[in-house]
Amino acid sequence: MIEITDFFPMEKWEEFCSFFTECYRPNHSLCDRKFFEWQFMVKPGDDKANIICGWDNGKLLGIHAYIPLLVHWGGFKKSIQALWTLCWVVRKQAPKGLGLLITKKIQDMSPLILSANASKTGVSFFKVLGWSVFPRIPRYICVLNKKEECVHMLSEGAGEEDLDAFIFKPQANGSLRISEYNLNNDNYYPQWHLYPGLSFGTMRSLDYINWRYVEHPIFRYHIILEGASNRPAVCVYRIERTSGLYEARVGRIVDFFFPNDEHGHGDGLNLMDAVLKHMKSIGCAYVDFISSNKEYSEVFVSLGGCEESESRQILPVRLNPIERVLRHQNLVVFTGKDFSLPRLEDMYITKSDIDADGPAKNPYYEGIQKDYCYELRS
Amino acid sequence: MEERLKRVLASVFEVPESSIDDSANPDVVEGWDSLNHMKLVVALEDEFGIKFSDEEILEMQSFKLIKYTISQYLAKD
Repeated sequence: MIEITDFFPMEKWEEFCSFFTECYRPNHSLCDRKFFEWQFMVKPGDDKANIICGWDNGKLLGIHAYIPLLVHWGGFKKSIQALWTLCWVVRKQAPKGLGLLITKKIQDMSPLILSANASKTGVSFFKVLGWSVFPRIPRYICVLNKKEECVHMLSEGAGEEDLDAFIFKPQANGSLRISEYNLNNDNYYPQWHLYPGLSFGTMRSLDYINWRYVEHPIFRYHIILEGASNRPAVCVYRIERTSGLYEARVGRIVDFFFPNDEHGHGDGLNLMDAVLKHMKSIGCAYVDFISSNKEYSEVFVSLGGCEESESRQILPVRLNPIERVLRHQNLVVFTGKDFSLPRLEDMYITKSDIDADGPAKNPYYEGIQKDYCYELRS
Repeated sequence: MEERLKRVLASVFEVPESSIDDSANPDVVEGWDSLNHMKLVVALEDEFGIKFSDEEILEMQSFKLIKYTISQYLAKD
């Protein structure tokens, strides 16, 4: 008898690990309980994870996880609780239709649902259900150390000259020094109406920043601000050390936004300039920034960054280990009635949105941390 | 009803209508995989203007069972 539950009970943890090992691989990061509890927002004492589950006599047959988050959608007068979904997978022996059922449950929970980085199969399923698919969120690259580092990671068929269009051009007069913040209600309270670029996307509130970055159990993110507390320019990044083909450092910018006025733009430019200079100084080969929003990416471009070609990636996206395959971050959106679907460039979707910036492997498994492939939380 | 049903299955699985009969199920119809099963459920709901229950979606694992399920709905009308 198939049973659908709208949560995953943590007492079944071993069953989840067995399921995930069968459906993905044994060293998947979600098989680390600490990471799992963070990702699926398991509250202490509650012991329920945000996962729709299909069961057959206690055996987990399929899951579709969801993260409830506040979003702005078309303005800032009110925020809406939307769902970001991830990990839609069923066991091979599950009855046909189970994947549909668990996703229908999610559709019943919110009129606005988003998902990033869906697999090719997942995209096909979402299309059948009428979700809108954006196959590629633009990825911007800025080369910081060309010859010394990047040449070793070039895609097959790419040459050193291909890097010329992506070379960092620092501001001559940029003198901002970056310093990290411990955010709190006194030093971070953005007035969202000053950020029209964020009018369709997850609200980067203090709660969100704390959960997504400060409390992340594996990655160490750097949160850098410039400007007044009610109108800061914000940049969040992490440093990743590659493994496999070549060992290098790569900067990953996962959030970047600023108020949409001259002052805000100036703060954003100074901030990004300082971040890129810092990454260059610590020896990063290149930095990437995946962003749907043109306004913010244009600042990155003005400092030498360039959008990579849709058909040809010259520098790798997956770094542990380095993969030389064409890979785009996609976005799928389910909008119920009363919710419009904006153009991609009018949304604010980045690499940080949910599991698009997740560890490929559990670094605490099989001694991977010895290879220090990630800048790990200490 | 049976002809309409065969037409939907043939269209979703991209097989001749003549190959669909009471013995059709995921084991014998090439292309009756999870993705196409989902397409089938959506297409049948559209074609017959019905909404299957959770149990029905899981039970519709053969042409015969689908035919039975839909006939129950049509009998109610």
